[in-house]
Amino acid sequence: MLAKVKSYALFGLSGFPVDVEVDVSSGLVKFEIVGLPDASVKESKERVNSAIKNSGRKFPNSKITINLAPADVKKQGAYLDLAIAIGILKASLAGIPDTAKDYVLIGELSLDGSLRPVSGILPIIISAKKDGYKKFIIPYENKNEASFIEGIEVYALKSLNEAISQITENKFLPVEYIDYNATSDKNSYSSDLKYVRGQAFARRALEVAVAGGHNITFVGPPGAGKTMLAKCIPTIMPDLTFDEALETTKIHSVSGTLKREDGIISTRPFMTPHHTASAVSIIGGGQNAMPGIISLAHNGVMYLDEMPEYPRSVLECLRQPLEDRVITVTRTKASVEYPASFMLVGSLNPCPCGNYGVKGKVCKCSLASIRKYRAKISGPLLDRIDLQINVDSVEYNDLVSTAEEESSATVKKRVEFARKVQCERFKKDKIKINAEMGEKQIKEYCALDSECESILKSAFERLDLSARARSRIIKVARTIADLDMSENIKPSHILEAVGYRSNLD
Amino acid sequence: MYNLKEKAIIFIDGFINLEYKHKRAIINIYEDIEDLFDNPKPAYNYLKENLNDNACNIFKLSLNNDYINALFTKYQERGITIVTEESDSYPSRLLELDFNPLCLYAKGDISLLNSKNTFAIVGSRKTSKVVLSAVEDFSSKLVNANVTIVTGIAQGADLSAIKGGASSGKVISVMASGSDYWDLDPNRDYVNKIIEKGGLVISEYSPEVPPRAYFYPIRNRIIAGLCDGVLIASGDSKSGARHTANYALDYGKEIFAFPYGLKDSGGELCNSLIKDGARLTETYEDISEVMGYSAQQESEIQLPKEEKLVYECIVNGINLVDDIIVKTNLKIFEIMPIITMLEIKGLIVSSGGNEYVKTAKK
Repeated sequence: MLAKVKSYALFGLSGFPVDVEVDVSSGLVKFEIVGLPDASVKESKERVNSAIKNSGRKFPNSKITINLAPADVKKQGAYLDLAIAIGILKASLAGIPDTAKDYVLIGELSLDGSLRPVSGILPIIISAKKDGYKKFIIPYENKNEASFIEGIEVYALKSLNEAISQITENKFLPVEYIDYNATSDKNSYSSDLKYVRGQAFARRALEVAVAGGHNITFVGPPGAGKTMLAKCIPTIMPDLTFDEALETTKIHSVSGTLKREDGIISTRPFMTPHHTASAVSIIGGGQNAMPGIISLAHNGVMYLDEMPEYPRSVLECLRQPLEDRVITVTRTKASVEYPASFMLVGSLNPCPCGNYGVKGKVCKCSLASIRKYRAKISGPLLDRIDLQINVDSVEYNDLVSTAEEESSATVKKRVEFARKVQCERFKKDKIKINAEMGEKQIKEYCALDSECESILKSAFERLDLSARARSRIIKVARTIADLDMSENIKPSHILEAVGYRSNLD
Repeated sequence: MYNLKEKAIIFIDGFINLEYKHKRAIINIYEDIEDLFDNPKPAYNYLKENLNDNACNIFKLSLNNDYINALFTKYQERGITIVTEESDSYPSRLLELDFNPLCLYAKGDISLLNSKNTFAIVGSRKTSKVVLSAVEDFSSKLVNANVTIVTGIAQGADLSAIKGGASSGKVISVMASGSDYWDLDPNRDYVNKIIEKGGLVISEYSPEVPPRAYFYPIRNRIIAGLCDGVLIASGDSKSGARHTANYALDYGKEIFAFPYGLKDSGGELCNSLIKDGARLTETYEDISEVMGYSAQQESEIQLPKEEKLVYECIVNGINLVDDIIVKTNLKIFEIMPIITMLEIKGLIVSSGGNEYVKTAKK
């Protein structure tokens, strides 16, 4: 007879419903899956066959046809195993009641009949909830991921047999809902600004950068603590809101990098791709248009250590997502838009040998090689990096000093205030932070009085600033004014902003 | 526009593949070089004997009015003035050199070539910001004292000398390539700036000659020759500034050099010059008193209270931003604007990282 059960498959960052239709009829023994299954779905034949037998049930010796509707969309992954198994059992009159169609069945089957975790549970559940589905059966190990969604019943089960008893007897309790706002591990970072000794200048620059969402690069000799500073950036960013956390978790869930025990990502991601990473791995791609590092760093930080070591082509790829904050990954089989709103943090040495301009050290690089090194980061990319600061190597005495430095929590409060001011200001614009301001907004919100203008002008003349630095300086000055709770940009704000430049361009 | 003598020299110098010694030899054959046009035989013979038939044939074929007119039109179109050793405007200082350039291809005000006072400033491309700020300061004081600055066009000390003096129009920049390649120089903006402000850019190479690494030391003899004194701002043992210093020594010019500390990089040349008797230079007066240039008054700078506080810290050797915070008890966001302001006023300069030192300005 014919049976119909519900499952979901993944496309990009959302799930789409798949009706698993199973027809078991008399005829030559045959097992066919139609409806554009890809290899992993086709292979489920064998898994389902063994899983049913090893669960102590009978696999029908008849002609089995399975249709995955809609039949024109390619389905991938092993999400559908459970639904196919239940469908076959139902169609072969093995005592599965009609209540089976109330459940969305997701899970990969092991040959022994146990349920194995799958990636992408969170986006699937969110999409299914939107489509009006209330009851889910998912693998036990995906339980944490599903527990943050309110108003649904999720049954996290360990095997095919448990799933069947849930459908027939309603034997299990749903996963307990966890309120995201009540969880307390939003600040469980291993770094903290209070462990950074000295570096008052860099600390302040970090605060400004995070407050306005500005991208930042550190220029300094090896061992100056650039990486340590970068790691502190997530700790002073405002807490992830639930929506932000969901968005970030979705991406990690889809790419399979989500830690099972975490469930939801409540801390800001900090991604550090190695400089041998390919453009595809950073931007996203592959046959199925999977998200790349920039999307995994969504709502967090992407840190490029030794920036000039990255291939130029890879760095240039970042320009468009830095501007649009989304990336559309297009491949033959799919075209998917992933969010990619990340803060770019880079570090570089002053020259290939690292000693150029460092006191008491001799730089052996030729001027041409220094120029070549720095030219790896193109002008258009630099335009998107508002702060370029120098980081000094720390003296030994600073390292061992016991003086208490300001902690991340204190800095974070100021940052959160400045972000609030920005939110208020950009209410009618489509942006949230100062760094996203275009020429129009700069004109509107960053009016400079004549004193500021004259200071800026003399700074340009005296300090050899390039013309393209102007809007960067004004944007940073706006953020400094916000931190200073000042409505207008004052001369001191401009002067401070000018201080956060380096001579890269 | 050019008289026959000049034309003859420009014609000979126009053969870019002919070496200097052959050009010089041809000129020396003739008692009066303008005879070349009436009696080219000796030149042909010289080329045939010392080079080959081919060189002679090219010379022979070129020696006609069409070619010569085309040559001069070409120079004219490029806006180049040519000063030959037979010209009145040829710098008398260069005539004393052993291998004085036959022609100088110039853009700008050629009267600067025979300025009463000329002073060269050279240094390596990797020069610390502190030294650069001093160079700029000295350069602006020198031009105020009616001295013409002679330098190159490289990044570093050369550019700072130009920055300090260009606005007065008293800067001569000596290039190591033909004028067609000036526009390709990384610092072409400064070439244009010098010409615009009434300065002078010259080269001994005719327009089509591309720059070659070995031209630079050769070019340096012109810088050394054109000046009365030279300041070596920086340079390590391999620096091109060494050539300039050596030439200046040969020509009997005054040599000035900045002193460098034990740990400082990029100053080996200066220190060794001082050991050999160059004048140790710390202030503008060290130059002006020896060279007889007029002194430059400096007005005492008045600073607001907090700027003064930070400035005094830096003057007293508290150079790191972190240390200034400890000393002054000011917050970082209060200090940063002050530091930028002092930088804009030209009183301090970053010596690398977040370390600041005072400039030569008082």
